[in-house]
Amino acid sequence: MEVRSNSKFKIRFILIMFFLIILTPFLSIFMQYKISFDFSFIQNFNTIFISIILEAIPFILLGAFISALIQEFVSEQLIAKIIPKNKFLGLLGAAFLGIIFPVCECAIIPITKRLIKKGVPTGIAVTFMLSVPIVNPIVLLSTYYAFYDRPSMVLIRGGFGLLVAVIVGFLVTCVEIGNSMPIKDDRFDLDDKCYCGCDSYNDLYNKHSKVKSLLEHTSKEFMNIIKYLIFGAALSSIFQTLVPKQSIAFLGHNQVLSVIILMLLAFVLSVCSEADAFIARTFLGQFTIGAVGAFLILGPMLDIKNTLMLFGNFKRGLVIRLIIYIALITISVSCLVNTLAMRGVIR
Amino acid sequence: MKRFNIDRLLGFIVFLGFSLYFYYLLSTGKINMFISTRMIKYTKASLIGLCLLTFYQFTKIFTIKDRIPISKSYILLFITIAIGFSASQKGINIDIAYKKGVSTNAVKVTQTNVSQTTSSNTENEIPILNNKGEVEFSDKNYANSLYELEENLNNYKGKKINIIGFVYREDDFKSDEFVVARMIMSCCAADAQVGGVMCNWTNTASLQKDEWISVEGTVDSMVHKDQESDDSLILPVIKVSKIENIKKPDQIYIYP
Repeated sequence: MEVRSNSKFKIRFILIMFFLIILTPFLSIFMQYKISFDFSFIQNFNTIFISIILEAIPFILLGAFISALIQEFVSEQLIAKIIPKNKFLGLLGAAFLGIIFPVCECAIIPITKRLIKKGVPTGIAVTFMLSVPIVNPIVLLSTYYAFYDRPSMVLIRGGFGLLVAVIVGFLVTCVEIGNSMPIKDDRFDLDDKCYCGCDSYNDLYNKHSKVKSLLEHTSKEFMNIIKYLIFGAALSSIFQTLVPKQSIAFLGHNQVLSVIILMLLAFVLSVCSEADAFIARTFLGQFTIGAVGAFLILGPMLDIKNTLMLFGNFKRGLVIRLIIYIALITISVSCLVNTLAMRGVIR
Repeated sequence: MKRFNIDRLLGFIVFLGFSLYFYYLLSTGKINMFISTRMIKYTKASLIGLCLLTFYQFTKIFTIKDRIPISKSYILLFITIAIGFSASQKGINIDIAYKKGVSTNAVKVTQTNVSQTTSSNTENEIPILNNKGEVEFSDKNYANSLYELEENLNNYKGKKINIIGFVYREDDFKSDEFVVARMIMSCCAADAQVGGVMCNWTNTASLQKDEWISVEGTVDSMVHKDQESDDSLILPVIKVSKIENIKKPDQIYIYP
């Protein structure tokens, strides 16, 4: 019963994340920072929660719509013609495609799922999914704007971010050869004309209007994705509202731990990749440059919102492997950045 | 078979709820409590999209039901819309500034700039002085003014300054120190940072945390040692001459 165990797992995952996030404030108490659970907590939680949702909804709508467009107008044959036979070229191409695809990380998951269904190899789709939110011109611009006195940050984010995306895609290609489709078995797959209900007979005989089909897919994808957004936004808001920033600053100068701490923070905060540069900037004084780079690279690729969406759309095993690859590669690349910075190669 | 689809009805209500909520926020201007001005155009566009989908869902209500059981996730969506309406009544509590901490772009102390007292870098200067030669912080150019003040502090030493904000004090501040702060939102409330200028005033003890004040004073500089990084920063500081209580402004955020 693949479907049932998957949803049980999802619930367990959410509960674990919830407890971890509730526990951190208690850790902070040990470090003697004030925590108050009063009315202002609810006020702030509500505001931050809603602001994340309001900001993300336009992009989710867009992603759902583009996914519906691909479903209607891009055929499997077209995809098969475009994808280069050489694996490396495919990965590089997917990585750079991000430059012309100004789409937020929330929107990219339904699009990637649709591409994989249309026949794009999993590794290439993964590289595409990871690189688009980073190589996005709007994101690079906002990074440049936030780090005006340190333009090398833009190169670190863009260049090393691409590197991580390509390596992870490569790993996925190597490991997933021979594995079945990575999309979670959705018993109620809306793509099949046969819905297993009376309504399908009507549809088979009626002409399917393209517009209606687009609207249908967009709504279904939107409803599907939005519940993960809501969970992710809630967890992230709890964290933001309860935990003072000072409580994590003590690890800032450790070469490796600073990287890990900021990566965890990037994961939990789930801030949109257009704005996280401004938050990252505030860490510059207290954290190593590799750590700040890791924050900027991991944020668009993996955060609570994203992870929940991934578990909802792809097979559990693949998602877990993906998380491990991304985390390990980002840690190594960021420690590399730290080493290069110490030698004076990067400023 | 009955031509009535409960699942679609719920979907319609959800989309309708979101559309109404977006319209409410945009028309009352409360959207500014949550999202920065430059992101508002995306919200407007998505309102159009949501209306379209609402209409589409409506047309599907009178169809035959699928055998798919009603998804429980609709409850989540209704709760979200409810939170949305309640959040828009109150907005943010300034307490959150203490969780975020003040971020600064202050210049680090180096051998060259410590001994400098005369004007330095004039090439990238952004004009923040008003007609009377005083530094004035308005909502529109707040972020620029803050950057300029921190970057080219020597140009402004001794000049008069006018600034408003809320009172922010950390526990390790000296008894006459406080920051006159604003929340700066670049994208949405979740990424809002606290920025401001340090002030020195003898009557600081009488100031309530989070009260809104208007500060008048003279620009000076101080050296602040950061605990963790062992760096010394040159911070602008205001030697306060006058403080007035003001009403909390309608627009509490700065949108750079």
